[in-house]
Amino acid sequence: MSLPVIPIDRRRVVAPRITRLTQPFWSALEEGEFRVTQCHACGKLSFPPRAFCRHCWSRDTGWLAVSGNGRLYSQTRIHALPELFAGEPAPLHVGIVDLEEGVRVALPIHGDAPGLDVPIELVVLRFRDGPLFAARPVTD
Amino acid sequence: MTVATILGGAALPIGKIQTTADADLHNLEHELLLELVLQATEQAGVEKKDIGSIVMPLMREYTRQRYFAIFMANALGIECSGSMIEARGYGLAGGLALDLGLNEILLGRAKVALVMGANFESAIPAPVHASRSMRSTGDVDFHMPAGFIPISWYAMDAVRYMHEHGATRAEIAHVAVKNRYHASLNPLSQFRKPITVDDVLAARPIVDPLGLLEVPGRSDGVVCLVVASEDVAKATGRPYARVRGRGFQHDGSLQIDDCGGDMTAFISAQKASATAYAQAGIQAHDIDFAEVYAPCTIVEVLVSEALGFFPRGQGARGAVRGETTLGGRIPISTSGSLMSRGHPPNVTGLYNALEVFDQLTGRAGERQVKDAALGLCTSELGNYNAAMVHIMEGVQ
Repeated sequence: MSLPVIPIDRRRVVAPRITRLTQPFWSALEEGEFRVTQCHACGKLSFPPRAFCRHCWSRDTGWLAVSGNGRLYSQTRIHALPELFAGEPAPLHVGIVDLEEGVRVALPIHGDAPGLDVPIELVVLRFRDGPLFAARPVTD
Repeated sequence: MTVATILGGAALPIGKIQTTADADLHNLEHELLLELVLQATEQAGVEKKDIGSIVMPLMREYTRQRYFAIFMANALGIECSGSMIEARGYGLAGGLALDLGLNEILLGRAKVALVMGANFESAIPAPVHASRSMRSTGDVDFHMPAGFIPISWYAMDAVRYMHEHGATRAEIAHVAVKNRYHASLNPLSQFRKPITVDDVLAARPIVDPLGLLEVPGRSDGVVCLVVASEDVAKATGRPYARVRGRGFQHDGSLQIDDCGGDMTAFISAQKASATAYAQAGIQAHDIDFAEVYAPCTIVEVLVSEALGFFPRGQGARGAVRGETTLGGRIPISTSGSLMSRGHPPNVTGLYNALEVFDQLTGRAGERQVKDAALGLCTSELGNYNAAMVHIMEGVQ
């Protein structure tokens, strides 16, 4: 299934550097899929992507596309913007989400969340120069 | 067995010391620090020839002179036979430098070591500095694009803590009021004008829910500690602080654990303090006062719980009841804290150790903790992902 894609008519403030390891992640994100790395030896999931499992150091890892569903663990609005983010819509709304697969991710929050532990879904922010991942509260 | 002590200390009042690049007359780190070396060694009663090692927290990127420990050794005319070390550790830097300095004593490499540093950054605009500091508290490719600045992680601690434990904004804000009161009694403090809970709650928002009075200001600081073997300390006949316990723990995460867990439990502080208490042969309730590395109100609340002074969820309420105020059950941040005494990050851990030393040797003046015998200081990095704890005992 494909994550919702939100076009944003700006460039990313900080463009993630792409490597051979992370290229599949960013390419999949562009197509609406959020991937984590999964260890085939111990079963644990990792994010950001890892070349080998950070828990058991097995090299036997692969990609797992997550559902995109999770819960909001925490959030804040940053009013004191770093110089790099000057001119961005302020405040910056960011948070931490726990995906239902058991992975915790820190990311921008898109839209107002009524409180913590509310259901969220991952979304793709499609900037002019490439994607970023974010989360938004689920509205039925 | 060799025992390490803190035998002397001197520091400048924290504040805006750094001059701008185009100033006609500059304040330079080494000139200020060199004078403090004389003051601290005179207080300690040690001589230049006794000094075998120099340990410094890494200087800020804004300091023009590089390789500062060598630069200082030259200016002091000291020929080190132990080590010359510059320690990097972000918020941990001061605590790490102290730890490495104590090691010089414990390893027998030096009988006396200077543990000192300067942190100059106040002339650098906050947004410029934030663009740098965010590279230290997060993954530059996977966190930084969202805009996380160092204190934004603590803000998320506050939101989660209030959600889980029902603490209120006013309860947490009380920590800032208490700390400002302590700072008003400390001549080294940057901010000394008393404030109220209403002032804290009405302050300009910085990282929700924390406002201007619950986060650190921009600070410069210069500080020098003299650490020595207990044999040297005893021979001087002067009061000193004997290091009784030390603990360190990193939880393996970078700001957050991708496996989840309780972010506000500060597990590393729990484990590091357990190690230090065990080494000292004491328990949390034996500690008379604690000088914690807490850049924000919520951090003091969480670390006061992790160190075992309060049950989970009760730290903020304990502060409201006055338990952490001077005269209370367990005074915390008697210096005035990172928010009000001031926070020159790379040397904050040294200022915290200096406060413990001053309390244990009866030098804390109006803010003296009565009968202070056992004190503790911490330093940390990330979101308390790593914690360093030192426990000291006063010897008169």
